[in-house]
Amino acid sequence: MKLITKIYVSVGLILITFVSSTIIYFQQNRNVITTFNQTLQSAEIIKSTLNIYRAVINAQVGLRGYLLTSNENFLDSFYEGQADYLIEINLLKKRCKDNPNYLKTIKEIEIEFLNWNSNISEPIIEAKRNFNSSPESRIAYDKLYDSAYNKQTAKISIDKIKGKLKNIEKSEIGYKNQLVNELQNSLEFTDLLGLALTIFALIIGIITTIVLGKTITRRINSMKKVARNLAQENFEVNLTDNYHDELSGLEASMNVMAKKLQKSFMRLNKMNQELDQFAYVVSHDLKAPLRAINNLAEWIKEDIGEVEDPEIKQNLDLMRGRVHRMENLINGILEYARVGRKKLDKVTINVQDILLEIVDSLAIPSHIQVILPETNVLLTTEKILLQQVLANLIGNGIKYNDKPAGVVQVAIQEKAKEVEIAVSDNGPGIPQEFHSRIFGVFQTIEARDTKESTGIGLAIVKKIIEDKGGKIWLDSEVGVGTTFYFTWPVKSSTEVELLSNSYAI
Amino acid sequence: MQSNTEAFYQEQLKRVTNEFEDFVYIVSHDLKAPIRAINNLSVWIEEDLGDNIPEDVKDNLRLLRDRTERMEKMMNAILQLSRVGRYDLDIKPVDLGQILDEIKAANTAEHVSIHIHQDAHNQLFNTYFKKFKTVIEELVKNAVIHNDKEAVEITITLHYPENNLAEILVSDNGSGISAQALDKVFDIFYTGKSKDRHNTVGAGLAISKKIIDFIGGSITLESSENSGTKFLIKWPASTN
Repeated sequence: MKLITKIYVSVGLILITFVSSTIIYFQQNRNVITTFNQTLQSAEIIKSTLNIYRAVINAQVGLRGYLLTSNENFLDSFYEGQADYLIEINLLKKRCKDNPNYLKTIKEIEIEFLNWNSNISEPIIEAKRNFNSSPESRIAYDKLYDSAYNKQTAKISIDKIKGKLKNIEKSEIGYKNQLVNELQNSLEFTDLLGLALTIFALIIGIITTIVLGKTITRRINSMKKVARNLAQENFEVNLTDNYHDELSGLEASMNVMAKKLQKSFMRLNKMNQELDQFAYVVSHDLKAPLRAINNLAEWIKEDIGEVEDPEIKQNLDLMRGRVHRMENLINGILEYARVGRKKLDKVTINVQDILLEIVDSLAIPSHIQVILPETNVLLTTEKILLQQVLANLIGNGIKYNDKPAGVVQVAIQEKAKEVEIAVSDNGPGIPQEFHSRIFGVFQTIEARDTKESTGIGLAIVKKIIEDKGGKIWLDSEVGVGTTFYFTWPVKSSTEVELLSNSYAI
Repeated sequence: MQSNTEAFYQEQLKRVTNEFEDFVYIVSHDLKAPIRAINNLSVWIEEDLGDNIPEDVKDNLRLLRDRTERMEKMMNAILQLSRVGRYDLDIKPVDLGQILDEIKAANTAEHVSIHIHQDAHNQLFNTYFKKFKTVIEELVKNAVIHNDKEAVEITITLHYPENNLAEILVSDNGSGISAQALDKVFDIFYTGKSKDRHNTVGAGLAISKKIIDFIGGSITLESSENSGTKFLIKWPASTN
């Protein structure tokens, strides 16, 4: 799976967890409100049943009081009960309109109350009022009383009503308790779920962070190691894994890169070896016949010593001059070919000391003054190379100087990653068109025979400087003088690269 | 960063390649000029000396010119060696057997006989045909130079173990190569003991080896003193 997919999945899971947690809490809230309303409703219903119960009892007690005392005041209570009953039963009906079972029971209660009212209460009140009007009336009342109270029809009727009310109340209380219980359970469940989801999200987050972080760090570290190895020219690397993600892609490219680098490196090595072989061939195999030619020319000169033909002598001298020149060329080529292919030790040196050594070793003509910089600059580098460069440039400045009071001046400037050294002279100057050519092998501006030079010096200088990762350029005005500038890195180019790489990762 | 390092190596490679070319240029121009001058000067000296030229001076002048010629040859060999990767790069399907026949036909020396064996006639093989010819020619030349017998026998066997591979065996009845010289024969300017007898600069096998390396083949040899030499070349076909 791709790394980014893994991160998406993990973050997605955490987000989903939190969203579900929120949704569940909302749901829970609504549940609580609904249940709360239902509980209120339930309480109302229970209250209604109690009110009806009370009203029926009132009506019954009022009736009994009147029948026992004939005091019409008791009937107030009866009527009051009746009225209360009517109000409350309607309220109850309204409150129970969604419950058909309750409505059925209420209907039965109404029928029973109507029965009690019209078949028992009304006739007996009527009979009681007429009690003293005639003996038939008395008999009629007695009969009614007997049926209502001795045979208990009234009580049975009221008890029925009471029973049914009790049923509703009981059922409603049960329902209410159930609601409360459910709410309780659901609250507990929500709490648990919320807690579980939070822990789940936390665990996913932690696992993702640790696992991804660790694998990424581990693999980046191994890649870093590989990169470092590559920078140190160790190409025997092969990164393998079975993650099949972006880093695998990177690792695969690194492997390809390492192979390519190795190939380049081996080709470079092969080319270097070939060049070495060539240098050897040129120096050794070409020098042998050249030495033979030199000897033969010498012998010929000895053998024809008595011949006084100036032309022959001149030709012989010329010939030996050519041989000598060829030897110089071959040595120069050899030197040029060897630049940068021998590992030299680095030492920490003061540039000032190198310059003093050079001035000592060069035979400086009396008319030329060499001015050295006064600053001390410490460098850790291959001393021989810097010495070679400086000796060549200063030597050129002296050798080609055409002024009666010649000046060769060296200036040095320290910069962030390199030092810049300028070697200037007040010599003949170099025409613009030669500026790029003077660094080529065997380029001298003056005719070959006027100065003993193979023209290979500046080519070697340039090669050494570029090998070190520096640059060389010049400023010159014909007749006024020339200044050669070059930069010498404080660290070699590969080292700089290596360092910047390890920072970059 | 890898691309940096890669670029670094590429640059180095380019630099070394340039250096190599510089070298070749130097050898061909800068060194050849004085050599030719030396040669000319020796001719002028001889002319100026006229008829009363002492015998040993004459010998020395001849020797001197020999040496200059030899140096020129060496420089030409260096040039040829350096040009392996840049010249004669044409590729086409050819009948290698026919090239061998051409080489045989070009042999005019009466004491040299070339025998050719091949298992598939007229088979076309896609390759650097010019380079192939150069290699076989150099091997034949080498076999003739390093032969002390009166009748030089050279046998060339060509066969195709695979469709894309030719195997060429070049054997001779020559003086053979001593064990200690075996690993030097492909070095440039290695001449063994034949330098003075044959006026060779010893570049043929070096050039052959470089060509074979260039095309991705291999060359091995089997030899012991006085039993002749066998060169086995594995020559892969080129894909255009």
